Amino acid sequence: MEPEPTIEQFYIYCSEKKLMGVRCKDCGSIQVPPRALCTLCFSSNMEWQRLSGLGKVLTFTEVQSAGYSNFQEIVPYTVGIVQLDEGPQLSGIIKHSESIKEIYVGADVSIEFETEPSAYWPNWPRYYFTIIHQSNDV
Amino acid sequence: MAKALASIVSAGCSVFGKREGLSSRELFVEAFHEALERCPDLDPRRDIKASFIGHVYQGYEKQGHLAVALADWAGLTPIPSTRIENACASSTVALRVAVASIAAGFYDIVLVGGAEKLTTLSGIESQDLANTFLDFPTEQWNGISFPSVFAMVARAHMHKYGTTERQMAQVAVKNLSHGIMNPKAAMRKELSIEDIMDSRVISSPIKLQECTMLTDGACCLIITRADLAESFTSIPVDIIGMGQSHEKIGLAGRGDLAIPMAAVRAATEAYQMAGVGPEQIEIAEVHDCFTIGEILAYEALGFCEFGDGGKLLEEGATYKDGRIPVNTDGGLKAKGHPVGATGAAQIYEIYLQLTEQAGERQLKNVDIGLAHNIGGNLSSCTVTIMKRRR
Repeated sequence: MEPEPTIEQFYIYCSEKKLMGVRCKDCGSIQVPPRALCTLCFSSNMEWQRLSGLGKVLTFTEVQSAGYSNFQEIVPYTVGIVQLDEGPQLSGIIKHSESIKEIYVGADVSIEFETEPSAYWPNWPRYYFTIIHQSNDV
Repeated sequence: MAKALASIVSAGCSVFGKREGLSSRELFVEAFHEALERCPDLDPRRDIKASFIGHVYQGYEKQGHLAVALADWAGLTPIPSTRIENACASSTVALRVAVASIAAGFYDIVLVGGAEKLTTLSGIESQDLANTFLDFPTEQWNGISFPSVFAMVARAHMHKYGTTERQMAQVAVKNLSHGIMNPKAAMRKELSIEDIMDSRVISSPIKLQECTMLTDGACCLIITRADLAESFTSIPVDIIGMGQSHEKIGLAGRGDLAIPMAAVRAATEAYQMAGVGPEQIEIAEVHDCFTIGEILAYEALGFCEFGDGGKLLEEGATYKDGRIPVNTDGGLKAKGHPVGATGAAQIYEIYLQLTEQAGERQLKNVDIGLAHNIGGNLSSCTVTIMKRRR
């Protein structure tokens, strides 16, 4: 039997290096993070669907003053919202080289996963995005 | 024009800022006392039948159950007293619930307000708590803070419409130029566009001086059934339209990031209920927690076309002497942001202006005003339309 479509399970999949959303078997909509009830048609007929983790940056910001004690040590860092190729939008950290200039609206990104769970509650391992470099700009 | 849903017959507001040695209940009494002094015909024990209190953060002064504590300090025990939480929109949502309770016939006269004590913690400790109103699994967990959320919306707006960082900075310049006329504002100091642009970046493109400050503060309103209002005041302010709508809890779950749909829907509901359009609004209070918030508000409220918010400001239309003055009390930028009291304080300013009690910043001949109050990462919005009775 498939695991329940919970946020906890979403992050368990992240620890297995998989970005998993759910697909509604009745209306076909895809949502991430997963939900047990389709917010478009109210069906509970949801199945897990692996997502490619590929997408484009819709917007981003470079955080220079962290809003959280757990993030103070890593400033500056960049966060953004990515439109995934399968349709849903997902926010997250976007890792990049020294120059913020390589991030722009429309930049191609792919998902990666931290190898260790977080040291603090709820100990989820984080996903993050990285910029996909075109072959000619390496 | 539509009939009154209920009426404001008095209002009071504490001084906002770091109120050393005073708790939220004491600040609430400061606001309540002002409301009583403005309304000598009100006998609080005889007349006030319920209270609806906006309050958000219990952690700063370790005091929960605040509506009961405030009612106690205001001498209103044992009336039904209820706390309402809807992030930064808490006290205007409390107002809506209060008006609905009057419309349903439960009460004739109620107290609506908000109170917050937010200066007991500072720096990162305070921010850890403040950011709990963002989506935990996708935003908080990824280090996305309030400034980051508004920065991402600002970037989307800049990308789609060409809005500039100077236009956003000008929001703070304008509001601070109004705030120097407000003795209750926490920040009474004018800054130039360069001062704003040169302040340090918090989350690009948002700079420190584009952010409001979390402050202590309290505010209250006395709301009555419309037909009773003239027993308490010669100039009732009628509430003629109210809208409330929401967006998904996480910013990423929405469609076009440059259009705040909760505000668009709340405005549409309020205008339809009131039977007025944006061209009839003579004064507005809008939620400028970050400067981009005010530009988004102009567009959502129909003061200009989508994408033209920055230009509307540059033309001077929203200055005190402009076509549609916005945030004559200095907005959240100058006043500060005692979260649970912020919405009620917007209503307070409209009440003062419509009843010619706004002192140095008083506008001439204003009859219809609007308040736009945002909660969370633009996930909540209320719009309230008020009209002075003639």
